[in-house]
Amino acid sequence: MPNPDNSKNSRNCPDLDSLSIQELSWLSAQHLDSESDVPSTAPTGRPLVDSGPSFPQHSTAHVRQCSKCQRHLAELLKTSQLLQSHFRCVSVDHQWLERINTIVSQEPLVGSETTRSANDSAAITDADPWLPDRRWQTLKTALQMGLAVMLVISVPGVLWRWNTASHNHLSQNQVADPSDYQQPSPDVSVTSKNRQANSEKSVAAETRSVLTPDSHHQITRVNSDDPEIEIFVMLPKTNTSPLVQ
Amino acid sequence: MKDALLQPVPDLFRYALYLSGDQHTAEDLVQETLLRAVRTWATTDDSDPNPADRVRHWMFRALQHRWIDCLRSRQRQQSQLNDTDVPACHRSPSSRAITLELTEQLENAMQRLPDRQRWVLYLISVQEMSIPETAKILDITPAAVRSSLSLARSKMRQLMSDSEST
Repeated sequence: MPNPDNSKNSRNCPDLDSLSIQELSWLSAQHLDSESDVPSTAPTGRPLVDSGPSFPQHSTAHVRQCSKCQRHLAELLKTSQLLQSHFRCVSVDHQWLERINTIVSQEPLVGSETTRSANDSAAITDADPWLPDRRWQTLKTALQMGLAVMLVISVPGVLWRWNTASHNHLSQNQVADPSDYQQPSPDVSVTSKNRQANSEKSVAAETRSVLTPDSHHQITRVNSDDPEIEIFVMLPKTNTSPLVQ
Repeated sequence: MKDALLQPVPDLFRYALYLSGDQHTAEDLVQETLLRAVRTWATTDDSDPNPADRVRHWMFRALQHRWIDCLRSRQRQQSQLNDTDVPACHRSPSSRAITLELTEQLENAMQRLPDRQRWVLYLISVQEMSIPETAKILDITPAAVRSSLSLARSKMRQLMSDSEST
């Protein structure tokens, strides 16, 4: 870490503290070999997108001659390397990464032709929040893989996400009795063509029909700040969740 | 495109862990970001020769926004439930693999910086984001990034100096 004595630069010294790593690396390379060509990449390989030309030439010349700036520069780079080694050593759970990769690989991309079934005549775009059947299948797959699934239901849209077993923030929410949820009525289909015209009630009914609990899962109704948004969560029961085992 | 979406996941996780200090929260943040990315980038023109950088920056920005939403939500919950034990924003001991004294001092000093300075310093120093990239992710101007970066480094020096002298 730079010595505090170096923090007060002289009047002519540029403010090196405000430079990005690419800019610092570029300056450092200038100092180490002023005769060499300007490097096109930082030591880490990232392109020097905002260095060089945006840095005043007179400042570059000053840094080359000022030992104080050179020490400051070296210390800033060293500190950055320490931070990188510290934070980048944080290991990522490989099993989690694999699950992410698997699910994203299975995920049909919304808006692509492959997500449109023959019955899905309306174009599915980002503006259309409804999800095709295959996405519900993905949710089921996620559940089978031991992931808790969280559905966020909004009227008239639907957003969804999956979630791991970290649901501490839901602990104070009201848990609904699964018997509160009615069986799906025959005329309510997830792939209803006229979804946009559905009323709030039918949207909620559709949602509940999908969230039919079984012996391994429970449905939790979560209080929402927005009265127009209903949130239901389908979670593996604690004692049966593969994540808990 | 899926490769471009998955490639930044480890770095996103580390940033999410840095922001939240909790492994599960970090995983949730990344998953939610990934889902948004899948939906948003699905319609991207496949002829884009190098979508990776654009997707990466977009995902960092989305994660940052999601984290701010999360913080606001927690603040609301905390004000509603004064005595509820809402998970604190601290780093879990298990999340650390290396306990070198100097880097721990650095991290401790970073944790004492104001949020914006801390985020800027992380994105610049650890993720090697450029000034314009960082500005986009944090929704601030490039000048504000430089100012925050300068203040952060200066404050870090002071904190490290204090810790050495005690």
